[in-house]
Amino acid sequence: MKKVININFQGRVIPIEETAYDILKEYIESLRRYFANEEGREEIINDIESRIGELFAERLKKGSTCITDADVNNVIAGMGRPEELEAEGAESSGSTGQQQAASGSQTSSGSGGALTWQGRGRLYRNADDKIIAGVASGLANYLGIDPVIMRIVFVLLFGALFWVYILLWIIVPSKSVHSNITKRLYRSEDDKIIGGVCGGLAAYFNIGSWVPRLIFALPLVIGLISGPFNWWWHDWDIFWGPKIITGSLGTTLFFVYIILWIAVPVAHTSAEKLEMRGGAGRRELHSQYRKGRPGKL
Amino acid sequence: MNIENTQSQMRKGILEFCILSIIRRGEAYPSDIVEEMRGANLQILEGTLYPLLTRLKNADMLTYRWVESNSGPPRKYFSLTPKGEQFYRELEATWNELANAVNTLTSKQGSLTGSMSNGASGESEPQPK
Repeated sequence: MKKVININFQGRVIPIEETAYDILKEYIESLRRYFANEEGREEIINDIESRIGELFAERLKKGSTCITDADVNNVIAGMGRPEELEAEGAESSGSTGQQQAASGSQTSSGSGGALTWQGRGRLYRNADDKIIAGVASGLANYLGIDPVIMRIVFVLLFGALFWVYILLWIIVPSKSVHSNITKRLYRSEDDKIIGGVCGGLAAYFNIGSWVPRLIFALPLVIGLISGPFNWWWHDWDIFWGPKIITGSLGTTLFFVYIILWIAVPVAHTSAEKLEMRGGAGRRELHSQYRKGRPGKL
Repeated sequence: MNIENTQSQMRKGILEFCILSIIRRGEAYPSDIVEEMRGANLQILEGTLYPLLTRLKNADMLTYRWVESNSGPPRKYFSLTPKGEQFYRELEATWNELANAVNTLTSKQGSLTGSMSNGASGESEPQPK
């Protein structure tokens, strides 16, 4: 003999055994704890409750007088308990704690699942991706930025960073480091006029490709506009310095473009193209997975 | 390193892709998605699906519509947004690349005489450098 209560569950009136109700309540609570850090928690719980309500209604329609313990347990088995969900939806089950400890602050970078945590933590010279000794690549990986950018910094500040490079070469051990960077600077194959540099920059910074184009073309535009005036305003540039813009800035931008053209690889495969934009949505998704990870509760 | 862990790692990446491919064919109700995946022998718990759908929806990949049902409250039907379509295509291209690569590599391995270099972690393949 069991006591049956009526509950209003997601817009349905469900007659349910009191013990079954306790099981159900406990289950919903456990889900609530599991999704505690999830952005869409209420919505997820709501959806799950709706579905459970629907399953209960089907059960009642088939002739049951009320929902029993067994019914609830069946439904829960189909839905999955939090500890089962963990293995499927979130990060890997076994090494979660380990990853958690190692990944620490780099939650938004990295999408490769279990492998990603390796990159961070210790500074290595990257044996897999190197031009001289893998210092720039290893350092970039450690700081979570694109190796290409790090290389350009080293080249531009060659004088100042030369000894730093040599020092790191000597001190830092070499190792195959798995890149944990999901967003890389590539030259765009599809969106290019000269070398695809602007297209790649636009994708990297998630802006319209006309922005970098305009910046690179600026000296040319100003030169064209001011050009006709120059023949009668010889010293115009002393006040306004259009010669600085058309001259030295123009040269700087020109060389920046050439350097990027040489240093930055073209995105050929679709995986690279995905990396080029950091897979905008993907990135978000993965940071959300991590939010849902029980280690963070 | 246990087999279940590796298997679930393999499945995880393709789950999203499969869900999107089902929704792409037309508006779908979550439990129908589960049904269809199970029909294709891809086991998934409904409790895993709902958070995935909500995350995809919050990332503007999916949108949903309330559809009246004759037995009870209205039900949520999901469909792809243009952004989701784009996302799907990129995943599809990546999947094709991967599938090709894996097929090529595993079929090669079969013809060799057991030269399996089954490194425990498998993440650093020996490169002759």
